[in-house]
Amino acid sequence: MQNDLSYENVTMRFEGRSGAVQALERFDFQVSSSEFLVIVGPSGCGKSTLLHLTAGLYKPPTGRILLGGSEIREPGPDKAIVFQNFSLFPWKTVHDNIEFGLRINGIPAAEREEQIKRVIRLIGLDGFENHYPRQLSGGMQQRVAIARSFVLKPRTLLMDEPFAALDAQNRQIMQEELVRIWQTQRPTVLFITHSVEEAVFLADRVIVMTRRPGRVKEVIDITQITGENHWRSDPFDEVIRRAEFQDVRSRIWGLVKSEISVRN
Amino acid sequence: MADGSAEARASHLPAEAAPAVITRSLGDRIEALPNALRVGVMLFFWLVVWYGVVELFGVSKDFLPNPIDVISRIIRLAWEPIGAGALLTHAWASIVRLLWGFAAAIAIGVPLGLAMAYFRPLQWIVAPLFELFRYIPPIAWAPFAMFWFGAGSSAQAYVIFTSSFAPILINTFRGVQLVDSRLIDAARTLGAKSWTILFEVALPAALPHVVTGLRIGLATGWMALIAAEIVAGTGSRDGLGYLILQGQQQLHADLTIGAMVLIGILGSLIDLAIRTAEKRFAYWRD
Repeated sequence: MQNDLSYENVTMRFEGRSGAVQALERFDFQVSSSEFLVIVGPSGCGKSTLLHLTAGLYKPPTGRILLGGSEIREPGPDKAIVFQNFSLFPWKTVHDNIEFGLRINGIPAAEREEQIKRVIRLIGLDGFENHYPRQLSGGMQQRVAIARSFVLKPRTLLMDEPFAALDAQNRQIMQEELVRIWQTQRPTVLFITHSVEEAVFLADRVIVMTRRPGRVKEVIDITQITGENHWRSDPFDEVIRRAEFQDVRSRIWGLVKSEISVRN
Repeated sequence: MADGSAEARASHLPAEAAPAVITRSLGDRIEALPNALRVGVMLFFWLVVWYGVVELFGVSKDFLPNPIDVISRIIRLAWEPIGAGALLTHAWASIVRLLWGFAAAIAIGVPLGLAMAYFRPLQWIVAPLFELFRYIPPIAWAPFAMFWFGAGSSAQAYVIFTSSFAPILINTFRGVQLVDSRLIDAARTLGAKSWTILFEVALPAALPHVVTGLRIGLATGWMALIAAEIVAGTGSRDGLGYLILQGQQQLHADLTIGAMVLIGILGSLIDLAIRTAEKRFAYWRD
C-alpha cells in the first residue's frame, strides 16, 4: 500500500504562561492509504495536537507532514475533522450543516442536493433534514458531523475522540455505524480515543503514544491478528468476548498504563 | 429500647410527613393571570391610587392633576395641535429621530465591533478613544451637537447616536469574541476562508449578542431622545420632548405628565417589538 500521510520529525511546542510545553517531539510515522489508524495514549500526550496539525489548523515549527506527497499548509476539505463536541452550526439545519462544505467548495446546487440525500440516507437520518442540532440526541448530532465531513469525500478523515461525549449504548452503536459508513468510501482515518476497547475494535493499527512530549511508544498491527476479515465488521458485543481481542486489549492497556503510572 | 428509637426517629419526621396544605397566596393568584390582563389590572390599580391620593388630599391641578385630567389631555391632543401639530405629528417626529440616530449607530457600531474583534490591532487603536467616549453622557453632547448641526432634528439624532453607539459596538464586539473557536476550526477544516467564516460563522454565531446590543441601544437611544429634544430641540417645534417642555412653559402639568406617559408607553412598545424580533433571530437557541 502506498503512503498517504507521513510525519517527518514533527515537533510542536506551546508557549504558555508557565513556560513552554513540549507537546510533540520528533514524531515520525507513515500511514497507508485507506488505513484506519487509531491513536491512544495518556491525557495530554499530544494526540489532539497531532490531529490539529494534520488538519492544518496550525503548522509545526519543525518537521513536515505530507498528505499524498505534498506538505500540509492550510486546513481544507481533503482532511476534515470530526470533533468530540460535534461542532455543528447550531443556527443551521441538518441539511444546511451538511450543505455548508459542499457550497463553499463550489459544488453546483443540483449535485449538492444529490450528495446530501445520499449521505443523509447513509447515516440513517432521513426525515430529519430540517431539524436543528439542538433537537437531536448526541448520537444523531455526531452522525450529522460525520456526514458533514464525509460528504466532501475527504482523502483523510480526522476524528478527535468523536464518541467520548456519548453514553455507552450510543457509543457502541456509533462505532458499528462508523465502520459501515467508512467502508462505503474508505478514506484514510486518523482516530483518537481514550478507550482501548474502541481502538482495538476499529483499528488496522493502533499507535500507543508516550506521555508528554508525545512520541510513538509502540505500534500494534491488529490486522496481523484478525487477518483478511477484520473483526470490526462483526458485532461489537461478540468481538469483545473473543480471546484474541482480550489479549491484545490488555497488552495495549498495559502499555498505556505504564505511561500514566510513571508520571511523577 | 426499640420503641424509644422508633419514636426518636419519628420525631424528626412530622414536618415533612404532614400533608401539604395547598394554599394560594395573593402572589400566586396574580401570577396565574394572563400577562396582558395582569398588566392591565395593575395599571388600573395604580391609576385608582393616583386618583385617590389627588382627590383625598385635594391636591392642586397645577401641582399634580388627577389621571382623568391627564388621560383626557392625551385624548384631546389627538386632534388639538400644539406647536407643529397634533399627537401623531409629535410621536412620529420623535420616532423618526430615534430611527435616524439608531440607524447611524448600527451602521458604524456593528461593522466596527466586528472589525475590532477580527483584527486585533484595531481593538487597541480604538479602545482608548472609545473608553473616554462612552463616559460622556449623551446629554452632554447636545450643546456641542448644536454647533455642528444647528438646533433641530439632526442635532437630536446625533445625541441619540452617541447613546446607542456604545452598547451596539460593545455587544457586537463581545459577541464575535465569544464565538466558539471550535466552530471556526470546523468551518476552516471544511474549506472556509476568512470572508466566509466572517459572514457565515462569526456573524450568525454572534447575532444573539448583536441583537441584544441593538435592544439596549434602542432603549438608551429613546431615553436620550427626550433629553435631546428638550435641550437641542428649539429649532423644530415637534417631538414628545417638545410637548413636555410646552406643558412646563405654559404651566399645564396635565400636558407635561401626559407626554411623559406617552413616552413610557411608546418606549415599552418599542422594546416589545425588538424582543419579538430577538426571538426570531435566536430561533436556533435552546
